[in-house]
Amino acid sequence: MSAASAVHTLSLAKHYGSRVAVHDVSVTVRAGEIFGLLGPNGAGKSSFVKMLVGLIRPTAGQARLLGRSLDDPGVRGQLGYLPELFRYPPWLSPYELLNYHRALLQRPALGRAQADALLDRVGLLGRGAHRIGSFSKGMQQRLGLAVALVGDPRLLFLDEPTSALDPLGRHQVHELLKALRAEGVTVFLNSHLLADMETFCDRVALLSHGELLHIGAVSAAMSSEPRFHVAVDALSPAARAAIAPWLMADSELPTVTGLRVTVRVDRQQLPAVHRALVAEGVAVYEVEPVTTHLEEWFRSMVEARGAGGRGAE
Amino acid sequence: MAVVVRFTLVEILRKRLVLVAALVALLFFGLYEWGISELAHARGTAGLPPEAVAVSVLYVGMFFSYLMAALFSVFSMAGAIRGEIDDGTLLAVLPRPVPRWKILAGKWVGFGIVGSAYATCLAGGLILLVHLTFGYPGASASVVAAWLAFMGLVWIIGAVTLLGSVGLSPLSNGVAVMGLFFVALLGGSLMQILPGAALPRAIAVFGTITRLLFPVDGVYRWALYEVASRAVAQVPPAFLGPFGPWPVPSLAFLIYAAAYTVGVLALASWLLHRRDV
Repeated sequence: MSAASAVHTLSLAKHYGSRVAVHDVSVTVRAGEIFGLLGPNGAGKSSFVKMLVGLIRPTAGQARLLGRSLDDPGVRGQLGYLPELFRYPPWLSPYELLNYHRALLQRPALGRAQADALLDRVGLLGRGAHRIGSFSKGMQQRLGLAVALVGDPRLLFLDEPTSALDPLGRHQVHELLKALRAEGVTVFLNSHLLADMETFCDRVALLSHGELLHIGAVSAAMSSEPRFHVAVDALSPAARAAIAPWLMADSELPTVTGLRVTVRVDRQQLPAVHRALVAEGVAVYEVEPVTTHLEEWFRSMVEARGAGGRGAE
Repeated sequence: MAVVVRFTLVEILRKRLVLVAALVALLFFGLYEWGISELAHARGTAGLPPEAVAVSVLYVGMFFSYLMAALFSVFSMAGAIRGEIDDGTLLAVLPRPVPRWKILAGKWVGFGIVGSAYATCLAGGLILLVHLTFGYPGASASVVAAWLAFMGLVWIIGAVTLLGSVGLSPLSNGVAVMGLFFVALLGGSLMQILPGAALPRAIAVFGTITRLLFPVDGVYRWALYEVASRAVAQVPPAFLGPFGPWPVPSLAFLIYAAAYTVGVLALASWLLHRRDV
């Protein structure tokens, strides 16, 4: 494995009797990147992360974090983890909770100013002395982020970190992720919020039914095939023939201003399409690139896997 | 581990459990004092030695203190592990670089300290009330030995409750440990009906098995004997009914109880170490 990898798994698996939670997953996460693990509900994302943070024992396979074995106690001091199911002792205050975790990490207690700085990062400044029992679900999730960060981790596992947050909270988490990336922290993100993944992840992996379907750069997943929508007044047979090499079949859609067609073409060839249309007397109102959003990619991958599964039956 | 002990203490002290337990104890003491002062006026009427009534009221009081200490231990620890895993509290703690056995042991010690304080208040208050009303137990009684054994009960029950809490939900665990506790109490109580040579062999075997299964009842009977050994020797053994200390456990039994507790904790640690969370 590369010395620069923060997470490296080889055929990692978790079975509960005959039920397979994670099957044969091999993944490498590079140091300093934000890596996203996608998957439908029950795909095995949380089980995978729980194996890496030591909450559940793998049935088979190997895993190394920051170049060390999972069993190495030294590595656990360098991890931060926000569980999907988060709850913090209601009888403590955030100051007490953060220092409880500092003590578990065998690090000196945080002073009030340091604790406030950390709480400020997650939007809880001024709440440090309040009882956690009075916190909303969203505030507890923010506190969970602070707990995950309290040991200055090199590797951070965030399992659905914005599930309980409002849009403002999600924005703050986005800002936090940006800052962590700048600080060189490796972030392993589990989320079903694909917008988060599109915005921040350098690479994503797709897990379905415990199996890894795909791993790669987000940009590759989002732009597999360049296409453009072209809004025109109408398309004569001559004009249709002029752009026939690029025109996608059954892509013509009537609109209030006329017609919208879709062409499959590289950006460099787009002026040629435009010239051909104008030469045939077509009025071109608008040309718009079609992006394959991660969601579309995600759905197509999972559905393809499902169709494959059914085909095999 | 010290940090887990400290935060377990904070947890128990900040929950309402301690307040509720203290209020129940005050109610208990009030009713008990009222009852025994009535009995103090009637003493000697049964033609028994003067200390017989004192020892019997002491033993009845000890029995209810024992039940209250046991309930406190079970209810405060029934959800210590599984309960906190299910609600998510432990999920951020267990990945920290602390061996799981230390988290378990820290909880045991933290709960044990609070439980011991509660048991001390219960038994100490009770003995004091009997002493003030009847002048017994006097200086010759082994009150310290009884006190230590009474506190030990909390640590034994705590260890077994923690073991159950690794795998069982808080409710199931509470029912299981209290069930085990009542089986041990049944075995110990049956041995009081016809104590000594008249004890039927089958009852002796049953009582011995239940004492070994959950040695908490044997330790409790030992504490009873120590707190009133001088007086209890002067009353007919069957006079005390199910509240008596017979047969008085040996020192070897106390060593067994200590080893049992350590074994239970070791088993709980091993199960928690292997448990998927």
